[in-house]
Amino acid sequence: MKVRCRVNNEEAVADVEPRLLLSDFIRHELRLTGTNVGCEMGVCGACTVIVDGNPVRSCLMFAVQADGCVVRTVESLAGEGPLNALQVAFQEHHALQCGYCTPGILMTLQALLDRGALPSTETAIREVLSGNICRCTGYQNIVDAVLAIAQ
Amino acid sequence: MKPASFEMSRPESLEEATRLLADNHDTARLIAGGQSLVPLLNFRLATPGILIDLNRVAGLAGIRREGAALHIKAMTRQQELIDDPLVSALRLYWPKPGVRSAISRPAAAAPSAAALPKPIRPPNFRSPR
Repeated sequence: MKVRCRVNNEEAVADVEPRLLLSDFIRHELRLTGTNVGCEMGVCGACTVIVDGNPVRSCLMFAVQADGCVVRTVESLAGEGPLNALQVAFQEHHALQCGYCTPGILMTLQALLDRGALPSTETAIREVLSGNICRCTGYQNIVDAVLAIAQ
Repeated sequence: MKPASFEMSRPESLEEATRLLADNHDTARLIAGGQSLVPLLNFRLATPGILIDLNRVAGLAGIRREGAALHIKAMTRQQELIDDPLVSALRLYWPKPGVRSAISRPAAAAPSAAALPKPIRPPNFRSPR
């Protein structure tokens, strides 16, 4: 089945099986391995990418459902250039340890930043991060990084 | 690839969707947000012959007020509900939904049976067996 979408500003066209998950399409077909796959059942948020402006779990969507859509993965944040503001804040606040959850968290936050909806209170930041599980940091440094961006 | 093979159809009208469903009623599953169905497919607990994707069917989503009642169409995303001023005025408690979760989700599959506040569970809601 044909899928044609725009991924990180480049046209992606492929003939894939309907059962191919968007996460596997991104990683295996497009070779964009920045998107990590964790629980593969929509709980952990590691595979979050932006589809038509919304943060979505790419492990719970089929590649063919992205036909005609605009997809952004973590590779689009910096491209070939320097880290973007969100990534710099994560670096400065040591908001990651193993880094496995980081691409998903960055894309969740980037979707909110893009629509000017990034919250600025700690409670609200913890709420928007509640769909992304991190097993290393205890979240405090992630919250600190987002607070720095939001203010 | 985790799910077993299936055919995918992506109808754009209700007529087309219902015709597909009638023609394949023994093997078809409808997919809305997919937040419950896709894990079931990944674990092969569901092995439909054909998936009918409702995401392109026009007119299945929306929220409107009629007198004292809120009419919430089945493909309305849970996130759209949370963000909706009519709904937030009700001050309901929300468990965390997926952004793509459709309102029909609890009726469709088991894992999230309690994911919607009681007043707006779909009328066909039933506990999983």
